[in-house]
This record gives sequence, structure tokens and C-alpha cells, in this order.
Amino acid sequence: MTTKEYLQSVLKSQTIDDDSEEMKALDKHQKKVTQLIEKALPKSSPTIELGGSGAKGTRNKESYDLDIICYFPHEDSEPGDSLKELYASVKGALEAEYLVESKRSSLRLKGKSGTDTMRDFHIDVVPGRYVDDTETDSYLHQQGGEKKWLKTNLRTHIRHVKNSGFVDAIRLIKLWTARNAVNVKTFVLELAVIKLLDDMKGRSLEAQLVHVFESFKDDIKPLSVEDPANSNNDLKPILDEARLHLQVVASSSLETIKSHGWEAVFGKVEDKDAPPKAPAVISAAGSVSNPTRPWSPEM
Amino acid sequence: MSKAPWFERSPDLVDEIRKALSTRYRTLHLYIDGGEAEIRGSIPVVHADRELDRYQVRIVFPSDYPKSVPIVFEIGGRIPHLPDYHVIPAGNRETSKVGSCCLFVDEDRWAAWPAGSAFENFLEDPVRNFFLSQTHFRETGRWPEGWEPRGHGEQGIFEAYRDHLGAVDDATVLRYMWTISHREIKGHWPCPCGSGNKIKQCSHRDEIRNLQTKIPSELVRDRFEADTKLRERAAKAMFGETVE
Repeated sequence: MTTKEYLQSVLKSQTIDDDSEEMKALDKHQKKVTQLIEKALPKSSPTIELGGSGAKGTRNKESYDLDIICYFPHEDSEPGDSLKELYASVKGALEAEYLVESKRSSLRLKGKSGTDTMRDFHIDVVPGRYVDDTETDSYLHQQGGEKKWLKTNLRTHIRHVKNSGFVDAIRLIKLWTARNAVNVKTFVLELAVIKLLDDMKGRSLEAQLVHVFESFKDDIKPLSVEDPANSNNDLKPILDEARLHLQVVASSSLETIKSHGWEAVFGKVEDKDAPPKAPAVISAAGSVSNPTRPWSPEM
Repeated sequence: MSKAPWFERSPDLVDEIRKALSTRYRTLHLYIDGGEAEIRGSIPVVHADRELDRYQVRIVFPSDYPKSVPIVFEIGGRIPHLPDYHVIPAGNRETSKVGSCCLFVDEDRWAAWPAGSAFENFLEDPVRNFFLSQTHFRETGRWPEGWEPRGHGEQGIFEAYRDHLGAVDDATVLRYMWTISHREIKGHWPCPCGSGNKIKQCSHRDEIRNLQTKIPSELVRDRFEADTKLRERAAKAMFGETVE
């Protein structure tokens, strides 16, 4: 198999079908999120819809996240007058059934109780308010940092990524960050990849990935990105948090590619007709030579 | 003057870890920054050349590594933070360990990852086993047969002692705990087996010595310090009063 064929097979294996169990679970959560917000804020009529990777075509099976935007009309004050109050209202609504982790501008949903305690559902709800009646630009609250709000445009973001010509490279870099647990906000990662590949249109996927890795390894410090919806938004702090990890992992991956090939970076692609996992897992457990027994200090 | 961190005092250990990661765990990466060292990445569960699962992890090296065991966190949010899944839940008194995976009870360390073992063995045995058992539970609804998890809390600790001592009662376990909690054990002490003999005259003295090589006295003292009721019960068991 050529590198091109291999990378395409990785992309194919990471595609989530609309009728897959993962999508059904996400759909269930999306409905629940809508119900919770409608119940808590019955006089409001927010736009609640998918944003993020689903709309951009960059979703991967191994690291899927569902972004649900929850944008209120610009004159709607039921969730609160300020963006901070709006953010808190949406958080409060979701806390009825989820453990909600506050992120910079979004709310991460996790399991609240029972066997879902702290389980990450891979869902970020993004509360915001439209700037005006055109319902295009929106204001989002920002936690931390000096500036407490930002203005952005989801549709601009979606267009920028979807039309970049680099969707495949973005998907593989996203997969790469998930496999190496590099904690970087997806949107900023996408912008970084698009910027770095600006001169690489028409080049092979392999060449594009190597270029991104080399850039992360050698030029991560000066790398900056701009929000295509609003150049005033300061994305530097978000990128700063991930620079060291991106550099370390990129350096390691370049060595790995040289000495062990691409499969050592993205793993073997499992055949769709591979046998069920359970018997293999049972066999694996049965062949452990030095079994160790997990414990819990808590009752 | 504070001691230099372990990775400055022992660069050979750092090299050993980097080598293990670069040869066998290429999606795990060591970060040394600001006086702390940790690994981040994902760890595969592989059998017969097939990747069965993969977990995102963060492995934190304590300041007294390798004396203390690295602390493993599953950061992909796949494992509930519940005792039944062997993850320390919120509210635990050791706040730095909330969310961490309980790979084994400390009394099992001698077998799970003996002192002096390579870091690679830590990943290959207790870490791999932990995540394999999680995948096993998810796929089958059961923990692996033959190496089911220890009972929670004190029950698990006592099980570990019984692995050495046989099917003895709680009072006997407590007496052994009391005995080996001392750095120096005197021959004229009553043997913890309960025979009434002195240690130096009892056939179980080798058993005590054997247990000492596996369970450090410091570990037992730390247990007693953390749980004074346990220490009281051990002392009572030793000196003839009723054990509750």
C-alpha cells in the first residue's frame, strides 16, 4: 500500500456514518440539550444547532466532538443582560442533567451520576448572543484572560475551513493531536493548519502533513493565527497553551515517520470485516503473564 | 536547601523512560517543565498484533520517583470516576489523586511493579492490565477471570495479605500488620500467627521475614497513620483483646 493509499484508508476508517451508534448518541444529547434550555428559558427562542466539525466536514471517529451553538436573539434578555449572565443561565439549565465544565467560551458536558460519573460526552455547548437582527455575527462570553467577550461568526468559520482545500489534512492533524493527547482548541488548530499549508495546495497529503509537523517542530514560537470572522480576537493565549506539546509531539512524529513509517503515527487500519472484539479481549486477558488487580481505596 | 527533582538527580532514569517511549510507546511523550515531569499521550491495548483499544492518559511522576509509583490519569473521559471502576472519585482526601487510576493496592507492588523495575515494565504490566480490564468490562460486562479487582478499601488490603498468609482471619492479618510495621522485629515478641510461641521459636518466622521483603514497614506505618482505628485494632489483635 502506498502512503497515499494508507492515509486515505485512515481517513475512511475515521468517518462516522450518520446512522452510527456514535451519531445516535450525539443526536440524543442534542435533543436533551434543546429540551433543557427550552425548559429553563421558556420565553427565549435561541438558535440551537450544530456547529464545529460536523458542519465543516472534519469530524473523526476517534476524536469526535459535537459543538452545539446556542445563540440568543440580540434583544432577548431572558437569559441575562450581560454575556456572563447568559453563559451562566445556559450552564445552569444544563446542570439539571449534566456535570458542566466551564471552558473559555463553551460548556463541556459530562456525566453527572451513576455509571456516567465524569464520563466525557464530547459535547461543547457554545452560548452566545447575535449582534443584531441579521443573526450572522455573535458575541460570546470569555472566561479568563483580559477580554471578557469576543465577537465572531460561526458561518464564516465553517466556510473558511470547509472551503480551505485542506479538510483531509485537518482531519489527520486532529486525529494526530487526539492520539497524542495534545490539548489544543480545535478551531485554533484548524486555523494554524490552514495558514501553514497556504503554499501547499495541490501537494500530496503526505507532503502537507510533513510540512505541518516541521513547522510545529521548528517554527512554533512565532506561529500566529487570526480569526477569519474577526481579526481583533486574540487567539494567541489559546495557541500559547499548546505550543510546547505541539512541538514535542511533532518532533517525535517526524522521527517516527523516518524510522517506522506512517503506520506508527496513525496506527493500523482495522478491516471493516475484522472479527468482533470481545473474544479477542477475553483472549488478551487470559494470556496476561503478570496479572495485577486494580483496587479502590473508597467503598 | 531543597533537593533537586529526581529527573535532575537521575538523568539515567529519564533516558530509560525516553527510550521506552520512543521504541514501544510512540504516542506517549515525556514533558519536563517547571520542576515537574509528566507523560501525556495515548496508550494502546494491543494483543496478537491487533489494537483492541486506546486510552488517553496523563502519567504524573511523584517527586520521589521511582520510590513512589507514578500516578496515572485517564484523560479521555471514558472511565467513570467511581470506586467500582477503580478511579478515585471527587471528595477523596488526597485531592491530587482525584481522577487517578488505582492500578493495584500498595501491598501488591512487590509483584505488580517491584522496586528497581524498569519504567517500561510499569507500562507493560499494571498500566496495560488496568486498561485491558476496563476494555474487558466494557465488552463483556465482567472483569477478567482469574484477576478480578481487589475488594474496595480495607477488604482489598486484607486480601493482599491473605495471598501470602493463606485463608486466615482478620485478627491474624492485623497481627502480621502490627508486627511488620516495625523496622526491627524482636525474636521474643509473640508470633503473629497466634500460636502463642515467640517469633524466634515459631515455624512462621520465615513467613514474617518473607512478608517483610514484600510489604515495607513504612507502608504499614503509613496505613496506620492514615487510619488510627486500624492501628488500634491491630494492637488489640496483637495483645489479646477482642477484634471488632
